[in-house]
Amino acid sequence: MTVKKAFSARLIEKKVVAEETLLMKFAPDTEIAPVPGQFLMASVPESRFFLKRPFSVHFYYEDTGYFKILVRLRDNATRELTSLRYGEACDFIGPLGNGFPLKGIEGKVAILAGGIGIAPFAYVLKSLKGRATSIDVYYGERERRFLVEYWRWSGVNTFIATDLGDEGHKGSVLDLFKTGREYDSIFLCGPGKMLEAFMKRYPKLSGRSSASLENYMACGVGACKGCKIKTKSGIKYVCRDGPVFPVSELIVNG
Amino acid sequence: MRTRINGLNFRTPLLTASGTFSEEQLDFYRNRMPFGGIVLKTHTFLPRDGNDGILIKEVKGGLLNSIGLANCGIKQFKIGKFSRVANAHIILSAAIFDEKEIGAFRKTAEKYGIKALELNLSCPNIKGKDVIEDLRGIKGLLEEIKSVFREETVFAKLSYAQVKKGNIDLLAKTGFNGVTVINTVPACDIDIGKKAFVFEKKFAGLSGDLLFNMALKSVIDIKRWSGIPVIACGGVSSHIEVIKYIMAGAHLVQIGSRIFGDPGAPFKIEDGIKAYMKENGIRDLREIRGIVK
Repeated sequence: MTVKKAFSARLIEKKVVAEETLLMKFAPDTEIAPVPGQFLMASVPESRFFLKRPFSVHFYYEDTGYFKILVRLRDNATRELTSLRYGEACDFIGPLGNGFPLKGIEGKVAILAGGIGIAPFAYVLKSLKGRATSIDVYYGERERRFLVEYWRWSGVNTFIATDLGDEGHKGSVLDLFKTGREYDSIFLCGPGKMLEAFMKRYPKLSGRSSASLENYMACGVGACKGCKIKTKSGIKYVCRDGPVFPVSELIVNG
Repeated sequence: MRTRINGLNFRTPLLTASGTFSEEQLDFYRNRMPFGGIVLKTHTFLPRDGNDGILIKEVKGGLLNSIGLANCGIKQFKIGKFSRVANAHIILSAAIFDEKEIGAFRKTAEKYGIKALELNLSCPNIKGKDVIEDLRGIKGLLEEIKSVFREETVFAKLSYAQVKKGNIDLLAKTGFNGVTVINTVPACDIDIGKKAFVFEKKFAGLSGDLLFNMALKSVIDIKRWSGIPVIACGGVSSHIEVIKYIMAGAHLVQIGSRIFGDPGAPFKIEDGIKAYMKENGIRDLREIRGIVK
């Protein structure tokens, strides 16, 4: 189990990877050793915002200890974060949450990502490579300009859908999922609507599916009780008990 | 930095504010404990699921919450990692609605050797339980609680609207050992896209920087009326607010929602107080407590 820390990290790389989407690479002042699917709370020092914001660990380099987060410009807090300059420090808390259940995973794996829900999967894929016999990534976005373009991994089958239809299939990424391929494990991250549609369309797959959820949260560690969800086994908190939950535990509109 | 109330020694004047600290956060303070006391999340007699919908929202200068006292009920309470905390008192926070409930809180305090209690008289997020502005309406309940917790140190946590001379006199006369001011302030927000309230329950509790000057006035008011120790709460983000609260007459000062965004803030605050004392030749906080009247 990883120990959560409050730490500082220097920005060492920043690039625009899609419309309103930046990839930021940091060198932390301590070893954080996250597991795939965990998240970090981040804010700039002396931020004008009261709370940190949660970001999935997009990638982690075991050799250097560097990590990446994928930031979509949603509000002034994410704008403030992405205005950091090279060499400047950023404040983090983490690594937080449980991560995807990747232990013992083998066979055919499907990844379903909607929008910025693609964020945790670079690190997940790194961990899966060499273990899964095949990996299919289903990636949906509103329109082409929001697709993270470098998302053309070797050894991974990628299926793209856009609402506008200007790249890949026009419509939901779930339309592409009807391939009849038998998956041993399915990992999801994306908007609530995508997850709910998946649960309704594929109730029989819930037993082998895990979803990373998002919710409003103040602390990221389980203190504020702000990220409550109702599950089949009672009330859970996204930050402390998740963010990854077995889909079989989830309730539509929970 | 030491502060004494009712025979309890607090190593620093800093406490956590109820609802902002859980055992998960102890990881941040493994090597250094900046708090003189940790006030736990409020527990009720019966378990409470709390409210639904959006429960937390950042606003300019603060934070709105509509948690609604989500807790497992006092009978299910477990002290967990807090049992290993050294150098800080563990303070039980209780919302008690009926005399019959008091015994369960007493049992829990005894079981874990808890010597201090903060009675939450002011959570704004409970449906059907309006904050009682005039405490004379629950005089009997308050007397019973203090009589059951005769030996313990008991604070009463009030909202801004409850800071009235009559209430303070009643609490002092009943034997309460301190008053905590102020709890979150009832507030609301609107989603202009949805043309609706942000929170399902419409109203939420406001905390954060915006509360500081209201809470500071509350401390001043109480010290004008009574000698009862005051625990200040609201808008602490640096040692400056702590010093101001102490100058207004506070014995202890709580750090609340600031901890969410910056777990390192309590260290900076403790260091800041020490530096201020050194620079100003202050050896004991009593030298400045209540100096501004």
